[in-house]
Amino acid sequence: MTTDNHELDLLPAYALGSLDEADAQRVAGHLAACPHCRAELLAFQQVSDELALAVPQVAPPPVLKKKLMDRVRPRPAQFSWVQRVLGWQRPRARQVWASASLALIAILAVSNLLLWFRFNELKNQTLPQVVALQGTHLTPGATGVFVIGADGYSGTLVVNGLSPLDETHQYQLWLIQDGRRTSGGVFSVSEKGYGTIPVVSGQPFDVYQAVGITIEPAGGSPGPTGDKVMGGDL
Amino acid sequence: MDYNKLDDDTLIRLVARSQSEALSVLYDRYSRLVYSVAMTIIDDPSVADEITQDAFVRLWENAAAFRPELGKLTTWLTGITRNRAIDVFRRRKIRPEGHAISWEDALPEEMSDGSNVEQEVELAHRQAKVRRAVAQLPDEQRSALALAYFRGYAHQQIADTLGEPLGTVKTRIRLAMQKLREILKSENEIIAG
Ligand SMILES: [Zn+2]
Repeated sequence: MTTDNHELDLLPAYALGSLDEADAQRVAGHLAACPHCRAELLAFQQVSDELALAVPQVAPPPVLKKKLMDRVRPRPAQFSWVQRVLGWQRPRARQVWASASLALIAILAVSNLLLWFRFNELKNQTLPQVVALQGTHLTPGATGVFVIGADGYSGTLVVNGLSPLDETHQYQLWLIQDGRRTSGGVFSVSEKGYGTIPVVSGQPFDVYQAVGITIEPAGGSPGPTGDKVMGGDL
Repeated sequence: MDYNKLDDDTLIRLVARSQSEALSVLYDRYSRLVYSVAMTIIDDPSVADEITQDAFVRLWENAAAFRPELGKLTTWLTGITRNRAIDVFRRRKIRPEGHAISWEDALPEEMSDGSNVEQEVELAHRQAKVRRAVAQLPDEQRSALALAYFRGYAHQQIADTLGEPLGTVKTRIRLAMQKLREILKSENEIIAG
């Protein structure tokens, strides 16, 4: 893919999500190879994001707040299967899933997610993206997936086969955009080497080209300082 | 502690620790915006209720994973709300095309009754800025943009809906977005300077 023929004319519509399928695929292919167009796209995405602020204002009915607060009041966890697999659960429920069943979740996540979503959501063209992550020479046995939710703003990382670290270190996920690395969060893995972390972003994940995982001091670093143990292209 | 005085990022961290009072404040701050986006797209109060609730429930459940450095809370809330509402619209067999979809021309009338003046002023300011920008678009560009933004229509669907040639629609969308980008950029520069 050369970068001589930019797709500048189609980037505004790409940011809105209004390109026809063939155009969208061509632009996506070009974006993967062209930092200039990615920077332009980001500017149009910011315009698209702001458009929501200009809608006519309607106040929600007052009873809605009570309904919401009733829903978020602590009670026994009742989550859908997919929420559990994707790690979309409350912190207190996460404890349960951090134990032995995490192994099961990881396996289910990798093997069944695509199938499950195809079955449920193909009609709506809102398939999540599943990106494979590979280990480096330091971690040849490690595998992982980064699942980007159908909304484009929520993702979950699931890794398998990483060594547990001492308590002063953690793994850190990096989202890579034009060489700049933004933290996607820190995590630890179980004794068996499984780990998962949900990542929620205020901008769509498609602005990033790749993800990487490094070993960092516990709590994470502002930028990567340790050895890279996994990576994958978005 | 008066949660109303806290900024969004601090409140999100409190939500992550299951502090429902923090969610309550964020709801007061942004539910009107979220509900309005849903209503503009779907024009059905019961569906807008559900989408609004779900957006804040997702915030409650995902707050620990939210990375402020990756974007604003309003962007995340309105992004998932727009996607969800368009998805509901697509699933519907009956499509109420009579419902007018567009942006507000008038400036925002009232603000919510929370007491965090700074956050409210910032949001009201951003809203006014985008409204002024959208109001400067020619009508034909604005209506093509509205079908893209609120309906999730692709170029060809917009052309079919408006009865205009495909090339014309492509040009209108492009010009509209380029003009909005210029206006918003110049407004930001005026503020920064
Ligand atoms: Zn290019």
